[in-house]
Amino acid sequence: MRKISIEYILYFFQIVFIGVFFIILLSYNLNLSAQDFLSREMFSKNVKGIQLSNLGLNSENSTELNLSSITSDNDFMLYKYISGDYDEIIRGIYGTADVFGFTNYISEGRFFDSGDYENKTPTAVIGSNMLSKTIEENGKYYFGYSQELFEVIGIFKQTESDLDNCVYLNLAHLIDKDSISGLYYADALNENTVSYVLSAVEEMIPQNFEYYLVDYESINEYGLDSMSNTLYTFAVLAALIHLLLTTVFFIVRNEYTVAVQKLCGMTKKSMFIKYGRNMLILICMSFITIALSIKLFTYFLSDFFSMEQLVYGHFIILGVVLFIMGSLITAFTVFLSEKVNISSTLKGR
Amino acid sequence: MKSIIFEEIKYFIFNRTRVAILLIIAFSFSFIALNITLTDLIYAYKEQNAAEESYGDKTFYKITFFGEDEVINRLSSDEYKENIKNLYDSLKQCSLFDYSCTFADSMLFYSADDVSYSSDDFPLYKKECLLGYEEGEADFYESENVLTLKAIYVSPNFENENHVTLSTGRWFATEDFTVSRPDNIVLPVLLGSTYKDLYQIGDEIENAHPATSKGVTLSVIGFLNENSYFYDNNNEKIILNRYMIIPNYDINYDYVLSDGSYESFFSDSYNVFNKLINARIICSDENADAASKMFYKMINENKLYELSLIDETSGMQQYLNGLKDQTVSCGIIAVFMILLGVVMFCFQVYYNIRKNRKRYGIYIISGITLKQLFILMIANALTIFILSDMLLIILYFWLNNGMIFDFGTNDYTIAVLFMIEVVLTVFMAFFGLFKLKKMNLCTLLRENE
Repeated sequence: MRKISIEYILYFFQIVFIGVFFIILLSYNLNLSAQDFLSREMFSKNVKGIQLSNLGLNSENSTELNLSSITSDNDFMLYKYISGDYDEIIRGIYGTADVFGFTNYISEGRFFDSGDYENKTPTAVIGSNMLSKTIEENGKYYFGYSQELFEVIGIFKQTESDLDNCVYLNLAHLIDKDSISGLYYADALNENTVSYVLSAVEEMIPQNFEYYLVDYESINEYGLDSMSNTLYTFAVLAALIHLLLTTVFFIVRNEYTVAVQKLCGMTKKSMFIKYGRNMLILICMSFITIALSIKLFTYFLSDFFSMEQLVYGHFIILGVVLFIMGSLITAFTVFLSEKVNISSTLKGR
Repeated sequence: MKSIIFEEIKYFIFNRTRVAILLIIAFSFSFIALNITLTDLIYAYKEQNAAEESYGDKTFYKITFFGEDEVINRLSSDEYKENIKNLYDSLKQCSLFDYSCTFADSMLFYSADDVSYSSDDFPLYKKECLLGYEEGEADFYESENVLTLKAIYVSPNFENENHVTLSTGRWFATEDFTVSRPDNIVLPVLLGSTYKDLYQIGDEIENAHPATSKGVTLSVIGFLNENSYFYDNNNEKIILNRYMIIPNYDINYDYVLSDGSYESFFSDSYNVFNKLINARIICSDENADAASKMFYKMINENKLYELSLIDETSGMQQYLNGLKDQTVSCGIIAVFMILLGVVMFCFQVYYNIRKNRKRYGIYIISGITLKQLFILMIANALTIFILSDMLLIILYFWLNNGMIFDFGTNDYTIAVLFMIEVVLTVFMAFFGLFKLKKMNLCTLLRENE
């Protein structure tokens, strides 16, 4: 049986180390997940916001936004931000229609309809996880906000998304009762409608209010802190440099073999094929080990290695990176082999 | 010997430049990774200890709220005062749990009535007692006519804290937690050890504003021992040396004025933040569910729906589990980095000896002692480490901005890194000697392998 060179064993561990921590870096820093309506926190990519602030508190109560006066050719949704946390999203909602098909996610009851908005009823539609935060009275569920109980008229089904932690309150009722100050988001199927709705809102803003337009900022901050990022980056870089050093040592240790091979007429190309083949086998074995290690990490160390954004795309990138790295190492090996002086090596100088 | 060492180093740097550069970079990067790993380990250890010390075997809930400015404004308005007071009173009286409303906040000293009040009238204080002093914000609080010192507002159970001890004076009495009249209010104050040489028991400090617009007089009743500490409502360790400690008092006078509005001291004192937000509900594990249910029953009765409970202990457990996983991941990196370092050093020594076998052969023939060879090896390793450390320092000042890169250096990690370098240096020297001893000088000098 042929003895495996110590450098190849070292290569294997170095590549696995680089691969594991490179894929952790990738998964936390490169989001390749498909962004649908639910993963965008129940907004489309057209969403835009407007922040309203009252300059003179005295006239606050006499002001209201007349939502029904916003007429647009296309349907739209208007939301008021109340709270946004990773485990609790509370928003006021108003829509000329169910533009984004919230009804499709309802498991019990119904979604808001035009009657709820017109009658300004204190109603709510909640995510499945929010049921525990409601009050049950006479067989009905209520969500409390602003010293008032909002009747739960619908419950969303479990979707394993932010929708599960969401509470939508009837915005028509909120605006009628509360201050109009706050952050509003307009959303529709096209950008023009959103711009039109925001312009309409701007026109309705009383003089004692100031406002500015804002982009939506996701509540889901997913990523590593800068210290962990630094740790993995430098660990991977260090291992990469060690990989190069291993190549230098590999050639030094095998310089007699290389010299003999060259003497026997081994060309640069055949050397590339020989070392390249070994490297390819090594990369394949390392790739499998990396994938298994990641599985083990996510199974045993799930709190830290949850890597929710890890998708096959990351493994494809890793594969490409490993292949390029293997090719470069092979090229470096051939380059160093070329430098071996047949005469002085065989003479032992 | 010196010239041989010098020649060795010169040869390593100028004749084996490629290997030298790669080794230096590799070890610099490894040390950065090791340094962060050690920082993480130390941090995780401290957090674990803090959690064990702070929570013990009890369940801690923290009161919080959802919403932002609009909700805060609403909850802070007079419309909610009565509900807040009712909820606060109910929470304190509930037998299912202990209610602890101890928090750090500022203590302002100024006189709204006296326009001539200036820094000359400020009470005695030391600069380090200024709020924000550690964060470099103290200058902001050093106004000409307002002084802002660090203070802690405490619940009656504060004296049960294990690490808070009195050096002189007395603890707060039950009656100290009640303000019975709206005018000429005198509140007892315990002072941290920093104040010891400024005040005596019985001294009075005028024009204090404990988050109220109305001024009160503080009466010194005692001093804490140096380095007394407790874990606050954010589970942060607060060393009390520079703090004033006053009771988080209740009001039992008639606070409703003839026009139906609230008396200002009551209104300021029964702020949702002073009495509810961030307060802790502490109970035994068996009572945890019942305590939570009772809390929600109380907030429903008082229509304070925006308030909710955070389960601090299970939250902390989850956080610690995350830290544990991170520690394991860091540990894997640390072990791998050290192992890789050792292996690469062995390679480097082997490579060095192999490349310069004749030179070493001649050294040995010429009568170099084992000790001198050992020094030569040490010099070689030290060169790599010193240059790696230099590169590390350059990278630290160049990249360590906390935004993209954070090297997380602290005093302990530097000491441990230094120890690792020493151990590796000695190991490398011994390994070099071992390899040299295994060489056959006769065949080596005959140029045959």
